[in-house]
Amino acid sequence: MLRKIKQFVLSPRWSPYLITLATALVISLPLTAAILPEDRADALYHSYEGGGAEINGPSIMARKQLGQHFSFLANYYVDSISSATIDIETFASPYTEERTQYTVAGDYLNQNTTMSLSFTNSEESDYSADTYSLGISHNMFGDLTTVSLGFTKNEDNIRRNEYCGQPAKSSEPCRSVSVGTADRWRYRLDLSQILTKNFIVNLGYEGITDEGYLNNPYRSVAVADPNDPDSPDEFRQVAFIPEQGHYPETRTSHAFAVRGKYYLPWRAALKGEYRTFSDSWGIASNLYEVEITQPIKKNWTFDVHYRSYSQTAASFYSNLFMDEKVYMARDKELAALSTTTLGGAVSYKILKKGWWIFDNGSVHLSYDRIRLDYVDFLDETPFKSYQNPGQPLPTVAEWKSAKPYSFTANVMQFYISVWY
Amino acid sequence: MRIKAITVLLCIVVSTTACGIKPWVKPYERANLADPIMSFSPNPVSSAYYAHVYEAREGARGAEGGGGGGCGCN
Repeated sequence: MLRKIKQFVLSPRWSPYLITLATALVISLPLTAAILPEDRADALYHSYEGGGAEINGPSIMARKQLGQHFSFLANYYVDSISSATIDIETFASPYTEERTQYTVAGDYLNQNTTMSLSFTNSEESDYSADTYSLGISHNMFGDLTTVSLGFTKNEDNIRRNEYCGQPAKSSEPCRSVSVGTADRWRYRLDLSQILTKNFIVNLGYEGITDEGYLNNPYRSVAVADPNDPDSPDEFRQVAFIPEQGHYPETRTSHAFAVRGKYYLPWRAALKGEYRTFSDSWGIASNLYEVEITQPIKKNWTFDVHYRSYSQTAASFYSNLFMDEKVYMARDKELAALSTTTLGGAVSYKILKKGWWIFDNGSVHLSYDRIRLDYVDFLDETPFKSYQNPGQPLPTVAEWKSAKPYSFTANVMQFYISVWY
Repeated sequence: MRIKAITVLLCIVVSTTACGIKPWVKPYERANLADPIMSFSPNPVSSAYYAHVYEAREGARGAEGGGGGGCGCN
């Protein structure tokens, strides 16, 4: 059904009419007033632990209105990473590093239209990314409908850290070598619609296209040794080839989402969400999520949510290639996998009578347990000793006998929000 | 093709501005929708973090929402 809708929308026959219809609706409807986002500040601490990785750090955000038409936002975010994931265990050495991200953004409100601009810079020792974004949002039908359009451009610079000295691989890199750049364009269309006095729905589409260096410079693929073609397959040794040069340099993806929120009779909210995704690499996925939010008395709010996600593998993904191909990948993110999340959150209102410049505030604590199950990405860590000189490489039969990889992650957030 | 599109555009502009569309949920009926628990993204910093956690570990991306808005609860 969704594929038919997508073909219909994107077909050359109908797309001019649909664009015309959208344009006409935007320019012809009676004007009403929209509002700028609230003035607020958030100080968040996040923690992720799972699959051999520990990532934590702060995120500080502040938003302030200036006059009646402008609102500005600044955000500072840090990921402190200590990583010994399965990829690291199999092909490299554990490492620590830090990613720092800054965002500045501004909104301009004119009657029922809000225009937004933002810039984000993200820096880590082997990756730099700049993101430029603009958006326009328009309220119509007496504020029952909001249509938003957005465009984002990413410019990434990818480097490879090299480790030298004695021992050959220490935890600190001695130099960082540029391996390539990647550009990314994101196009968003979003529609929010009030259906009844208790029910609101949201439809979203995002198309993303990438070009450039799209693989991880540290990862390798496993290939049955091409120098040993005469042996029976199961006795051939496994060789390792860096992914670089074996990855597509373009990618285009489409994501459609529908989500709804319903106000229950006893002051609680029920949210449901479905998202479908497909891309030119052959990955297709479905996401389902439900969430219930329940306030208790005046000050407490509890939230429970469940999320289920599954995807197919990229067409050029394999845990082991029997022959060398033009395109090859063994990134677990491109494997067939499923993700299941069960989480909860609690918040408590503070500063109810106001204090200093603050009108009110709240304290939040959330916890999520995420289970990741990989269908065709096998746990090959028993063979990591191949890195040592003189150690025999695993055979194809040994490599295939490994078990599918899975792990559980714990995600925690604690944050304080104040409004002023 | 272009002439047809312009014709459709003009017809829609004329017809919609002539009759207008009356909201079927009146502003005074939106108290429940204006409740903070009805926001799709009540805490943008937290939503951005969740999106980052999943995008780094799953192949899918985009249309995460979190844009908020849409309630029209002024």
